Amino acid sequence: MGVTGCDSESSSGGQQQGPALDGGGPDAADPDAGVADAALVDAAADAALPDAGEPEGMQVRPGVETVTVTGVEGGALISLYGPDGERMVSMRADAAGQAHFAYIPAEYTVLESGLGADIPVLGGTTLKAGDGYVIRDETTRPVVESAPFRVLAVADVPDVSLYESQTLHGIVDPLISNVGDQDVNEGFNYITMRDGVKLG
Amino acid sequence: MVRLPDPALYGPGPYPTVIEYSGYAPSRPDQKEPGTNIASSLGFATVAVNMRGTGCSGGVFDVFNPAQHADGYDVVETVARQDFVLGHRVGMVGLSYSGIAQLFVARTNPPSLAAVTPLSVIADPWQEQWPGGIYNQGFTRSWLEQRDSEAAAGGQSWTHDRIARGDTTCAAHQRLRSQNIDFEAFLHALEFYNPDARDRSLPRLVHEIRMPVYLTGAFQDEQTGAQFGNMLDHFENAAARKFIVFNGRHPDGYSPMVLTRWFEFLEFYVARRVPRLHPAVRLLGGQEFSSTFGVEGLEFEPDRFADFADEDYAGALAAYEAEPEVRVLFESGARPDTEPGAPAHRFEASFDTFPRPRRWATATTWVPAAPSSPTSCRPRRASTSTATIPTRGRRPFSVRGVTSFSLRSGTSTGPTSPRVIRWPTPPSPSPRTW
Repeated sequence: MGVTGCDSESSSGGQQQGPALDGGGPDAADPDAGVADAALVDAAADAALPDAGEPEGMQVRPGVETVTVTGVEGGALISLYGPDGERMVSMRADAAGQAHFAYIPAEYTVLESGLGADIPVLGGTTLKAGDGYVIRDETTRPVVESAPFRVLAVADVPDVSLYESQTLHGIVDPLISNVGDQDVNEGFNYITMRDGVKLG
Repeated sequence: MVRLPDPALYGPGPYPTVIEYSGYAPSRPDQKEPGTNIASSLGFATVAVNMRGTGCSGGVFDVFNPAQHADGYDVVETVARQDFVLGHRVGMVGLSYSGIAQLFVARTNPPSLAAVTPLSVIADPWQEQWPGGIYNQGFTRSWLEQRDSEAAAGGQSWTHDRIARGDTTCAAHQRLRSQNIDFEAFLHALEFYNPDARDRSLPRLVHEIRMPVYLTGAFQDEQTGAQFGNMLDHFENAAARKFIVFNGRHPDGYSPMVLTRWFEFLEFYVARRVPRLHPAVRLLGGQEFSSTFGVEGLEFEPDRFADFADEDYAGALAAYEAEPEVRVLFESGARPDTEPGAPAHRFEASFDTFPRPRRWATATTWVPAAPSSPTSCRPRRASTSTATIPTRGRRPFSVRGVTSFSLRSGTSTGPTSPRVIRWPTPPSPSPRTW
């Protein structure tokens, strides 16, 4: 599946059909050797979370100046490669097999993800919007690699169909009316964002 | 949460609609944030949304990051297209966190965002945490710790009820909370201003806002402080500006001192109609203010545009926009006909801009006293910006920018400059040293 959160032709993603070879870790002479594919989460679809019946394997969700990886083994070494092919940072996935990239240290570092992340702040930057980022699970054999994807910018506004396709339902908020046994939870909705994340 | 106003008061809809958006619990079904509650009472449909990584929302939490700005854009555009939304344009409401969030969303300029009403906001988040380069161990630190706690899995207790009711999406979203970083620690480590912090610095962003803005704030806001005042002249591209500043406290943006003006603004720019407060709400208002502020006798202001017919929206709007942009309310808490401390001002002044056109201070120089004589200065009219306060045998202490003080005590020694600063005090029986 491709990344289709916004109309960016460079966010092609998708399933590559390259050979899956034994070996071929991150330092292999041919960086594409032994690389299997990860799914880029289609933000336009009702992208679900790993425990909601979705396909197994690494899932990569590019967002606005963020990338969220799920579906890997707990403790996996997940690396973010920049558009120039440079390995920017690696994170150890948490016990649930997740790693979230948003802050990039000044020099390549391996970090624990989430609460345990002791992110060096001096000289670091936020993750910049742009094309050509790649995520690799350095732990698997063969190495699983995403297709190149775009990290979104705030200005990457999605197609209006994302907005037009969503319907919200509400409840009456009474001041003087008697609404009987109205269930307030009927007014609770989820709105899907351009990167597939749902807000309550 | 989507709530529609009482049809018994406001009819069947569509309704003017506002969004409240924060990392608190705006989408909690059984409780409303104040902005949502008041707006709903005043006839607005409300859509209250939790930021990513909070409540039942998916994603990873952060503090005012660009992902939250973009989410606000997407929320606005989605909500505006709903059938219950009058005119298919929405406003935003909220105080503090949900006030600050409005400014970040507004700078993305969603086409369907009609107006914003941020109350009690900050300016630069980093400077809020490191004012003057000193770590803010007070409110800001505790606020960040609380954000970390509430953004954790199950950190907001109401989500347990949602999950118990079968909200599997909410349950699944909690899994990603392990990816939230410790923001208090992270930002505490950010001892020096990082260039990327500019992307979250409101004084650098608010000039991008193009829709009307209504903003209020207190000089001595005990939570968000008074930094917001430094960016009021940065909204140069907003289609309309209404600012009200006052002495007082963080929640006073919802006090009757200003609440009617908030309503007026939303009526003009979101509902696009002549503001008229529903009589039933006006009747109930006193009761609500009493219970909220613990003070009797507070009421909504009268309808200021009652003389305009409903059809004369354009005329009423013109009159509204002809009013000064800035109101400064003085001595809130000292209005004679209310209890001491009540959020009610004693007098006010209006200006077309804030700050007022700059007036440069003129220099004033303290006259050094002879070492053996009491410290003194002959009072003169102040006209310089440097005051050198004499000390007994010590290097004079200089104060810059003071133009209105004079010292009158002891024996004057005659100034070496024709100008002195004037600071009237009762004569002291003994010499003073600073």
